Amino acid sequence: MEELYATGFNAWNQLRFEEGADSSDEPDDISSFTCVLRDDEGIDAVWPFFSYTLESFAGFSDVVQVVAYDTGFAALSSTGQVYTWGDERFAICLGRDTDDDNPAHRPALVEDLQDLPTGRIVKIAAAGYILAALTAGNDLYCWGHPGRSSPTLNGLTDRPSPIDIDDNDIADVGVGESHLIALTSGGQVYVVGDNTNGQLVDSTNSSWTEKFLPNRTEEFG
Amino acid sequence: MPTKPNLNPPMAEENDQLRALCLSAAKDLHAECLAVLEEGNDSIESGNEPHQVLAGSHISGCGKPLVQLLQRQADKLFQVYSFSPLAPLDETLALLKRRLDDLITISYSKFYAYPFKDLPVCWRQLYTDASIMKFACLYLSCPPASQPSTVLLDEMVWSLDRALILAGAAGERRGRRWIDKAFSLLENAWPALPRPDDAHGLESDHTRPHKRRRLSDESIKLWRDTPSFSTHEVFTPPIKLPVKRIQAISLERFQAHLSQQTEKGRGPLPLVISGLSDEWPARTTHPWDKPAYLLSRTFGGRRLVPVELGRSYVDEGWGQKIIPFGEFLANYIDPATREPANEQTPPDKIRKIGYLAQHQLLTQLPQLCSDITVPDYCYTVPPGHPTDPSQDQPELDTPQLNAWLGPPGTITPLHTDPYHNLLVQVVGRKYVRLYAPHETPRMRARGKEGGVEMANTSKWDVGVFEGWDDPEGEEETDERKREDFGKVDYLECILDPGDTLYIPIGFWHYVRGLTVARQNVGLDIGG
Repeated sequence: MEELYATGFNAWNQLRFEEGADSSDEPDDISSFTCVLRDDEGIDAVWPFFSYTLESFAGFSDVVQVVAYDTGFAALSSTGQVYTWGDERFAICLGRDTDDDNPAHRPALVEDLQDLPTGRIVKIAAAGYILAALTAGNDLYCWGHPGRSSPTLNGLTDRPSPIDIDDNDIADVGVGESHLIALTSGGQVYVVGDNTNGQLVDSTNSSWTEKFLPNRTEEFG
Repeated sequence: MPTKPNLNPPMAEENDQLRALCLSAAKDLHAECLAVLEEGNDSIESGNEPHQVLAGSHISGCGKPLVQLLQRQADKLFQVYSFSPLAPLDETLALLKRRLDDLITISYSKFYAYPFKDLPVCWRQLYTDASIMKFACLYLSCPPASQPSTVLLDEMVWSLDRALILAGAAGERRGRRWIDKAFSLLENAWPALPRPDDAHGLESDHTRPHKRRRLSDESIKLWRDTPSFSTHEVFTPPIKLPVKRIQAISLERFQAHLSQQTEKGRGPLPLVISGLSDEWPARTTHPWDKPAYLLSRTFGGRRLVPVELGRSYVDEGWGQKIIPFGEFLANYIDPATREPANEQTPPDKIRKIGYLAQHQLLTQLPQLCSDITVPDYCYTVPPGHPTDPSQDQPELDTPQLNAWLGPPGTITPLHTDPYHNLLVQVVGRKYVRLYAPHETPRMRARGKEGGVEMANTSKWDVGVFEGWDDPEGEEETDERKREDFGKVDYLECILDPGDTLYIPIGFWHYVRGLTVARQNVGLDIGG
């Protein structure tokens, strides 16, 4: 049986999947990891609200993923190349140089994500002004605008740099408007960033902090 | 109805009016959002007549989820404060405030995502309406007839002033009109509140006016004995090529000056006109050179203003922040008046330079607007740009009014504006140097910098070029270019209080503050 745990901004009850939820009350945020979906059929995919936009892009034939952040996009090819394009006022989010041949608004290769020690990029994520990429060998790289909102991540710069989370291999990553969440290969959950809506469970933190999901036997919902 | 005995505190009337204003805003906003949502539902199939309540509403552009979220908060606010005799539960109130903050945060993120000129007005209206609801929520949570805490009051001012400054108070049904009204009631409801920081020493209790309407002919006397801004001048540039100076002239003669064809069709020249603002209240009964007066007109210095931090907007590390006017005066403009005993503070201990620049202060604070008179000259018909008609702007309905207030050494770098401009010096002194539009090829205009078009700003720093300032960034080392710039003709002047400088469209101008505090108002001509 698969279970989905969630915490954070829930103004539209988008984190609650129960049928017939009471809609007369203003939905509150969820500020602890709570089981929001339990599905015997298996959960195929869950797309965070207001955060990811998936669309096809005519410019590339082998694009496997496209993500959007507030002022631009990133695309991942099947061979691990990451391309970025967007508003040149926030060139810091592009993770690459801009010049006449590679202007901000045209997709161009993020060279710093080529030839990495643990293999090619297999997944990208973005939201707000932060972008993240995972390698086949489970390393996490992040870049973006460090100061746009409340503390997100110490040491975030305009170039992709490897992120160390207590020496763990990283299996998956999600980016919110002003926070990030990472899953380690050992099954631990780490969060960093802004906690205004309970995204981080307890408090805003600019360093990665491990969070524990409730005991799986806890009441559903 | 029998008249109630007057047991209420004296300002109860304003309090009642403000409560009613808050509740009606919540009710109207709720209705407006519902109408927008309904419209979205039927417009596709039925093509119904638009709802009356939708006239002037932009909010639909924000999309259904956000309109719903806003509608629910407006409804909740109205429900908890209009019917229930009990104070709402803390959790209800906390969630309501958080949701309003969420709406403010979400709309504000669009202010970054779009260049301001392209920002759809719906986001400015969402920001404004969510801010109005936040104010209403804070205000209504304060029990009637009790005095709010300073912290709560600052939060209320913060909500509305940010909507004025950042979002331009957009929205036709509430917007600026609502906010101006709320501020006016708020300032009259608690007239004698302690100042946020009474250590400023800028005014004493007996000189502070308790109510705006008591300001009258007594005014001159009232402010006479309060301290003025310092007139200390750090450095005075020499004047070699003065702008022509005249006494105030008639509207017809000013129009004739604008229309005259100087040699080679180069358009009118700059003029310094004296005597134009001598009768302004700002220079007589409502003295802008008195910090105490300005504080009295800004809710005891509580009202917020946008401040540029750094010497000039082209410097590295330049930034903007929004702070209370009182804090701006005390920390950036006249630190000497804050600590009179400590005037020998070494300059390096004074904070970063803060400059209130090109802000529509008089629109934000209408109570200051009556202190000036828009000169008739603003209603003339000015000629177009002499060398580049593409820079001509559509005629203005009303003159644009901007205000500047800053310490010595702040400069506005050499730049051009898309309008003819009258710069009226109200307090302090200022140096201005002007280069004619036909010299544009020698002005080394900047290009796009960081995605922002800077073509109206020159790379030359006049102060550094003349040796008045140390270079901050990279200096032009090409001797030939320096020599060439040194040969360009220019005009210059020092503006005293009461002087008005006419800057024709397209003239490059460099402006430098000389005294500790100086204020001027810029008015754009046309319309």
